[in-house]
Amino acid sequence: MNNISILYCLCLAGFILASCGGGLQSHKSLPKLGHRDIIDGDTIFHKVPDFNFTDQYGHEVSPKSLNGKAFILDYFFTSCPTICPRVKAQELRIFERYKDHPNLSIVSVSIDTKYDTKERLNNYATKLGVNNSNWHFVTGDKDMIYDNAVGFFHTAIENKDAPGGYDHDGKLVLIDKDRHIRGFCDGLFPEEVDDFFDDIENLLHEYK
Amino acid sequence: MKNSYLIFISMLLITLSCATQEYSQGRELYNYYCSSCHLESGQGLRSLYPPLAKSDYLAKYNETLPCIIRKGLEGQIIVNGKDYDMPMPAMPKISAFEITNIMNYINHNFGNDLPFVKFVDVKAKLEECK
Repeated sequence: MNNISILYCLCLAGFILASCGGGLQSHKSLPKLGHRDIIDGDTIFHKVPDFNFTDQYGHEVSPKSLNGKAFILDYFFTSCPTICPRVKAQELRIFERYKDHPNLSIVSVSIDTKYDTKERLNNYATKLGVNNSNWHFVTGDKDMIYDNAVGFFHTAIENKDAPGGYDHDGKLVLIDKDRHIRGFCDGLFPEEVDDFFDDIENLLHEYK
Repeated sequence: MKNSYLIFISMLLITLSCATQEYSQGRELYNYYCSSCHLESGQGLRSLYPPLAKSDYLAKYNETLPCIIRKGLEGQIIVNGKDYDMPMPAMPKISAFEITNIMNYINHNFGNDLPFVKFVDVKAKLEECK
């Protein structure tokens, strides 16, 4: 083997090692999703609407109370006979991994503002095995919840013909500490949630 | 002679493949009507929704199950020693045929080994619970 071939082999080995190492450590930068405006040459990204909810312990849940945490937000209601339990089963996977994480919370917003009182939400959370304030089951002003749904990439419509009385979706939306939407998945499908874990990791890496 | 072997093997394979697809209609119906709460493998969800897998309640109340499926259930029940009280919604439009298929799927899956149910019995039971 002459010198040139040795050099070639070394380069190749180096290249493979570098690419493998990079693959293990690289974190993808997540996009900021939604409508954007360009004003005076600056891009203004979509932010989720301001909110002020009350959780199952009676605590306020707002951008201020979340205090720089990223959060996953979904719409649900406790008597939902269709998709909610399946979505909650998937959210439990996320909760189990991040329940003590300092930079991530889960916010489940009830769209049944009449029936889902603080006490009912507390009972539901307890039966789901959630006894930790990193997963907020919240209620709040009905107009705020319905009017803001689209801004959170959600759907919420009262419909007496829908099972349980409401139309909504099972999306899990990942929101960063600056209220930008950075990812989402359909919480009905375990394989989508598998990929969503990568989004969560990529976002949390920004806070390291 | 060779052909008859081939036919025999094909028949055997068809029979075997049918055998592994047992209660496939029941599975489809279960996934549509029941799996939202009891989840795909009948495991239930924590203390919210009771399991159907190896459930003592399912075994004990198997005969009244057609009524439970159609009329729903309210109030506290105890399943495998645990309390559950989320209401189960009624499904007034579900047919006796669908219930029979669902029950046979549940009774013979998720680790359950409960009796096979017949359409005529389910239909008769449904008339009783009206």
